[in-house]
Amino acid sequence: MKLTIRFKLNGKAVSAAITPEMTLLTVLKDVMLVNSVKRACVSGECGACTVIVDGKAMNACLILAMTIEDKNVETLENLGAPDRLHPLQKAFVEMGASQCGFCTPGFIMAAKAFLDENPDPTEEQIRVALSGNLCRCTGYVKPVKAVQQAIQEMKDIESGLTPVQAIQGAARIMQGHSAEELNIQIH
Amino acid sequence: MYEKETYDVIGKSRPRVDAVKQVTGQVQYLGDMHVKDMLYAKAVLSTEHHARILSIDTAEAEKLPGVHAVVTAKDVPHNLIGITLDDTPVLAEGKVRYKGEMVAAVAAETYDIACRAAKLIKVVYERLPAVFDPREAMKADAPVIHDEMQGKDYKGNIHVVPATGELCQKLRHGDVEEGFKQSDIIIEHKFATCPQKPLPIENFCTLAAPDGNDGMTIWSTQQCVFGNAGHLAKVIQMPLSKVRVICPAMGGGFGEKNQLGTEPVTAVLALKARRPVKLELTTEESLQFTGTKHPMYFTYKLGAKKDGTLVAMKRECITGAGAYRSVAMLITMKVTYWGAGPYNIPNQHADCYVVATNKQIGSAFRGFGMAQPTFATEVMMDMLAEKLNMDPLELRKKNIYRDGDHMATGQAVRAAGIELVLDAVAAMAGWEKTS
Repeated sequence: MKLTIRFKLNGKAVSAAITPEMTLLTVLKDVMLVNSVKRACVSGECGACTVIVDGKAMNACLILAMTIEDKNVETLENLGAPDRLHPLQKAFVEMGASQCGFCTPGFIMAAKAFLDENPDPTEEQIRVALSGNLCRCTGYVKPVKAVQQAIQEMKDIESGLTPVQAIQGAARIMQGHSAEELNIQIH
Repeated sequence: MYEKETYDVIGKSRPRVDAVKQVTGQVQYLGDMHVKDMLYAKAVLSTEHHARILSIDTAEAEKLPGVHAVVTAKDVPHNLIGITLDDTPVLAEGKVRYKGEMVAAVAAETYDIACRAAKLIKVVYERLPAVFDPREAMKADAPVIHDEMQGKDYKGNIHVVPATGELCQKLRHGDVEEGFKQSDIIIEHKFATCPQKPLPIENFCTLAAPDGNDGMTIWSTQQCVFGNAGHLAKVIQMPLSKVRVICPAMGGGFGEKNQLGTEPVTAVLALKARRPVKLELTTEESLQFTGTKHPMYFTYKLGAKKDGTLVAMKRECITGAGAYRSVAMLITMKVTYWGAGPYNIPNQHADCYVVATNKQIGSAFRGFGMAQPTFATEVMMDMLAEKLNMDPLELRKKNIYRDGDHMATGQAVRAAGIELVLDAVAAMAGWEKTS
């Protein structure tokens, strides 16, 4: 039995022919060919398939595709591009918070949905927010620091500092690096 | 000592070259790859730990619309392969030796059809007694796992050492019994290390595509593309020049992906279907099919003088290889020669056995045979320090290799930085304050 579902993928209205047992992960990966979403445990354990559905971070592997009719699905493709990185993406680069990079899209999406609701969290809250995402290379210190750095940068931008000052401030606070040393490009 | 400031790279944090692609989701891992006319594969894994295969019925699976190839051992051009011994079947033949071993596989138009076809394959087993602990497997009455390879390669479940024909790899240095006589203090202890799963987030995945009629390109989650290309060429009986193995970005491996995983069976499916085939394991399948760090069982005896000078060390190691040899002999070689730690011990004796069990095949995993004996040796050192009422750091510094020393194997030590490292670690850990 084939069904057609309509939903928003990264702001664009799309439709997909699905079968009832398909998960959102199958639709994103095999029908829409979205690159950033990763298929791994397929049981809600690892968080590699984390996407944002109507503002909430969710494991795409645990959502039946039929239930996303009319909903807004965001993947990492929607966040930023190499020439205009989101503060979270920039911070993950600078902190060395990715190694093999396989879990990284899920981490960033989980962090994004969390910060949208809690712009000023404690470290403990950040750790809880990322607890559904597993990393086997880097561990969790650097991703947590990256989220903290991104928060600082977003605050600085909001408080009227120039992006250069903001990044310098964030980098200085986190690890004693200068922006030049980290070779950060400002756009 | 070098001046940190004179270096551009050493001592500085640098972003990864591919970090921007990673954080924007642009890296293409194998699971993200799609090629034209690609079929999806599903493997049938053994549900038994140890069993004779009475029959495999693939008729129903072959009839299912959308199925392009079903393969069992008889479809594999060359079935037995291995890194140090050709004892590992691509697909189980006659017997299964661990739960999770590959028995058959299908390639179909969609992943869903492949899954349904795999379920239609009927395998009838006759269950045999299984053994999981290598110490049990060494006993005379243990079920024999490799009954057809007895003699040259196996004696019971014990792997025969190829170079010597003996049952264990041996290290002999000085006179260990004389060393114990000269010792003021002797401590003995047993240790066991567990089988750890490397478990990268990305599961094993292979995409094999026939190049015309006489070649094959294999994209795979493979850490050792050149080393394993030869084994794959042998499996599909093609000259090495016709087989290309490519590893795209990999989502973690940690040593597990040094060994062949999904490659051979995917290549065989592609050969039969004459179409590109992708086999991506689920985590559940990976947990059963792929390897673990080798569990090891140690018996230690260490003798020292009152002032902490090490005199003699006797070790026995029993390595659980899992169902097939793979890298177990190489891993255990490192245990034999370097497992006593970076210490001058004039009298040494080690006997290290490799034993087959009905478990997953042991794999490389972060340290390749060094983590297990290092744990045991360092705990022995701490126990000795406690008995001698000596600072564990001082005990180590008294015995470490320095330039000009010789290891038990006769190798000369050059550029030994052990004391520098110990001092740096002690400073970072605040050792002075705690002791």
